[in-house]
Amino acid sequence: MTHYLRRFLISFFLIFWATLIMATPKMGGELIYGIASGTVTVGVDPHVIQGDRTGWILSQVCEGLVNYDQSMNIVPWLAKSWQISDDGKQYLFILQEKVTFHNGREMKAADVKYSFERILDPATASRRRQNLEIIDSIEVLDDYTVRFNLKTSFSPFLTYLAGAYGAIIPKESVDADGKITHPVGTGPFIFVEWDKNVQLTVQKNPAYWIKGVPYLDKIIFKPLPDEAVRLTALRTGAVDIIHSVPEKLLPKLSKTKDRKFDLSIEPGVAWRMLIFNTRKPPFDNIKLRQAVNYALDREELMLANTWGFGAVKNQIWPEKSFWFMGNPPVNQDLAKVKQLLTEAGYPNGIDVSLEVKPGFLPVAEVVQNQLKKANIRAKLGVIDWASLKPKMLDYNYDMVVSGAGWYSDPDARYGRFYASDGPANYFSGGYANQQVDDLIAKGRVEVVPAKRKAIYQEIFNIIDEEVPHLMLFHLPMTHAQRKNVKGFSVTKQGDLAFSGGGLPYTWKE
Amino acid sequence: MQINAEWSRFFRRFRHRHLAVIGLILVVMVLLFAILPPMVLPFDPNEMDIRNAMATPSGDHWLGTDQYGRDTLTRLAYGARISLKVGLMATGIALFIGVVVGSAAGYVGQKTDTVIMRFLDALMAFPGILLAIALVGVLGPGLLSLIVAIGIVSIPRFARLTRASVLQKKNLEYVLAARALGRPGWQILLSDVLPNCLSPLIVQITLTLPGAILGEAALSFLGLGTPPPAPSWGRMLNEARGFMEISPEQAVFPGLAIFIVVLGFNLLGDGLRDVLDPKLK
Repeated sequence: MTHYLRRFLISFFLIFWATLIMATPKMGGELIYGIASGTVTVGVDPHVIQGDRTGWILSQVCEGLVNYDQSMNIVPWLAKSWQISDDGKQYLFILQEKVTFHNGREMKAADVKYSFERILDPATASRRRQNLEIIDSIEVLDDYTVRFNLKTSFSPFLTYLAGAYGAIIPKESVDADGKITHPVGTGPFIFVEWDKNVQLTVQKNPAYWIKGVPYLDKIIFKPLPDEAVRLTALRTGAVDIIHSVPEKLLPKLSKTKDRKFDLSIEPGVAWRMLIFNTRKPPFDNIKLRQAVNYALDREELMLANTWGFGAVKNQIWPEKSFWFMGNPPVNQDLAKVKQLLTEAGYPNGIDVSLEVKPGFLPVAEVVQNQLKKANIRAKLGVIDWASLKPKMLDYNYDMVVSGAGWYSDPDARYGRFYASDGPANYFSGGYANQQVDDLIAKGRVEVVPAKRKAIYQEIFNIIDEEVPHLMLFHLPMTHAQRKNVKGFSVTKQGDLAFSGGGLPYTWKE
Repeated sequence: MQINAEWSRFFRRFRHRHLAVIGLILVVMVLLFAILPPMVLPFDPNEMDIRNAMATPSGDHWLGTDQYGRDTLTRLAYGARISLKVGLMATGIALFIGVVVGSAAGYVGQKTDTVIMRFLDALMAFPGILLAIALVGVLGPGLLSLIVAIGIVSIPRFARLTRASVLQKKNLEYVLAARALGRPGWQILLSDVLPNCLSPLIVQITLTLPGAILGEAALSFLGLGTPPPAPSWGRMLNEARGFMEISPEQAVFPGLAIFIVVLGFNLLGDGLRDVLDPKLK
């Protein structure tokens, strides 16, 4: 009896310790992350970031007053709390104490003032400036208290402070010419070097203000634009994690049992769009745009490009989101197309051009094929983005296939694209509608959520009718990691550093 | 009478070169494949059927379907037309310009000869594909640009061949006699000199043609050829590359097609050269 009892106790103890060891993150090690692009980042100045990849990487180094949690809620970060005045025009932030920059100096309120003034300085050319122009002044009340005075109430304000885009940086990290070549921040990793077109390296910040993390000693971000190369690198162990696993391989990979890596496929936030040049004929004609809208079979587009792993949606908001709009989706209706074409003045169809950058070509090929059936003959032109972007800014095209992603605040989603002075207005083909402009301005200052939603519902209805661009389908978000990589998580837009997750909480066995 | 005897001798010698016969058979097969199936097959080469993408070969689709559900056999057949069109027209351009330039260099001689030949040397020194890419970059992608680019790259060989033959013949008695009689140079070239250069030219045609077809495939592979959805073999090969893990046969078929065409013309060309060569003196 005691013999068995002793055996039981020993096994229990062993299992207990084994579980404890397995669940305990192992400190140290180097992780290589494969980025699906030729350049891992567009630049290293957090205030001048463009694109999500750049945000993912620089958020390891630089942080803002607030951050996201895994469900994309705004949570306190470098600001441990805040108060908003009743009129919505004053935001008082209380900062975390004893947070140090990578150069050893403590972060104080003066650094917050400096950072935001830099963002607002036109000379910096920050993409956030337009969103933060609402700031009238910034006051330093004491070392850990700072107040932002806004020109009017501005509901999306906190979302525009989140992440590396609104990074709090030390003045000394800015070069004499006003640019940043070596970013310094408060983040879990310290910037080491960026070897353009080769890789970017960061190393552990041992004095990070959140204790216990990060676990890894070093992270290297490698550019792997070619799909096949990316997957091979993962298989051979040349990289530890990749994102954007080629969709065409998902059917096969998800069925394979003995992969050497873990695969995660989740609903993604990246979507593809068809942009009309609304400023020039023929697509300045709403009926023609609507004709194209009804000519497309979005289900087929999604199947062709994501092999069933994507989704057809008519908005970025998920159903459980507060901002979800109930408008019904548009289905293919070739009879309606014929009618609209006739009303638009093209009873025998029309010849147009369809331009696209190489990465989105498969989408454009299917669009071209579908439009052909509706008597809209699109000639395909494949141009790389460096040449296509100026064409778009010049409004020198008919249609372009492109894409976009997630926006946490409806002002970001609708304001950026549909306001005639929005920074992404050229992605709506130069759409300009005074009524929409007025509604967007109203939406920014309205503080009551239900009233805000009503405003954006009106905007959505107008856009649904006038279709300056078309939402085609959503892509899945995919990651694949070697089996010895543990603790890795992302938000639904693929963020790699957020509250409680991302690369700072990842370790290697 | 004399011609008939020559021809029958030619055919007999040709028949005995088995590889050449195989080459001829392959070439004829490709020609038939380019001409017949588009008239016979039910599918449109650009007709998509997304829900039937990457289908394995079956009764409905003999060679399966590509990533958009388009019938591969039909696309290969239409692709053959593109390959042959580019091949023939590019070779035609190279032939015409090459012969004119080469005979001018050979017949006129001296400074003209030197200038032309050094220019052609420079042209030949460039790796053909790079030059073709540069030319397409300037002219913009499309069928015509391909034909012109590949044609230009192929000129030097025809020019040199023609020049060599003209040099051989121009000091023969009947040519000197014609010159003495005051006949203009180009007339002499056309009626007396060039007809005797035909043999090497024919051989060169059958050797340049596969090179041109290969060039078209290479440029289309790189994305410089006719824009989608044109079923160029090179483009089909490039697109199939991404799907090798799932449907490797989609990469094999266009690759095999290119291989067969190039092999066929090469064997034919080699055989013709062997048969016609001893007749050159």
